[in-house]
Amino acid sequence: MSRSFESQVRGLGTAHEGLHHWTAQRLTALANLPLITVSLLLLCQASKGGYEGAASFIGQPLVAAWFGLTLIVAFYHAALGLQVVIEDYVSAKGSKIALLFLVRFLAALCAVAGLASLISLL
Amino acid sequence: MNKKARQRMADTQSQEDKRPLSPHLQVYRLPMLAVVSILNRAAGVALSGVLVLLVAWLVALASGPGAFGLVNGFAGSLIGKLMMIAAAFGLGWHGANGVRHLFWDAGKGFSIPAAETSAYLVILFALATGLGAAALLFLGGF
Repeated sequence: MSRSFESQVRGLGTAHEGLHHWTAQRLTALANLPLITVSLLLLCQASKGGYEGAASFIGQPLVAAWFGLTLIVAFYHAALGLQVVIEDYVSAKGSKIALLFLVRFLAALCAVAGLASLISLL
Repeated sequence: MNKKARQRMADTQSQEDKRPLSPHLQVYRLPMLAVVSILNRAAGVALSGVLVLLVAWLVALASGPGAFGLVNGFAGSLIGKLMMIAAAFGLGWHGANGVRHLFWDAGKGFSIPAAETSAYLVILFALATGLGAAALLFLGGF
């Protein structure tokens, strides 16, 4: 009794997963507000001087760092959101597991591709 | 099948007939609040795609002038600009509705009048971001 009660308090009730997804979705949503707003302003600035202007502007360490953090948080938030959509609309277990894996893989791949590009622009 | 069983089946059938139906989407006009809610999800899915396109732009920039010219040229085309305006509209929608959700998570704004007011604010904000992007792209020389 005390064990199952403790697991409920820790959020590991019938869902066996706990509050982690919910909390992470809210925290990344909150973090995305300033991250994306500033990133869009930086992007406007970066798009002014053609290839040379964009490469040198985004090659600044703090600009690249801000874009990098935005990519990580935004792709994390996107993967969490797409997970909910898949869980809601795809009922076949095999397809669901495959799609969830695919979404996480593609989100991680895109985020890392973006980070690698940012690093090479430094 | 005996008579009793058949009667029981018929009873079950008529009970099922009386059950409330879930909205039949082809003939049921969704309430405004439901439309705002489902568009938040649609915008989120679409913005995931926009995020991938932004990474494509970054990868092209890191790859060199040739690749960048290709991707940036598409972004500057009419289709690219319309996509960016749609993305700005979706981002405004998802961002504002996300803030609305955070207020709900904090237990505020749950009454139907409050939810309707905040839904109209979401629509206005999304229109403003979409129009702002259109002004920047077509008048601001971006």
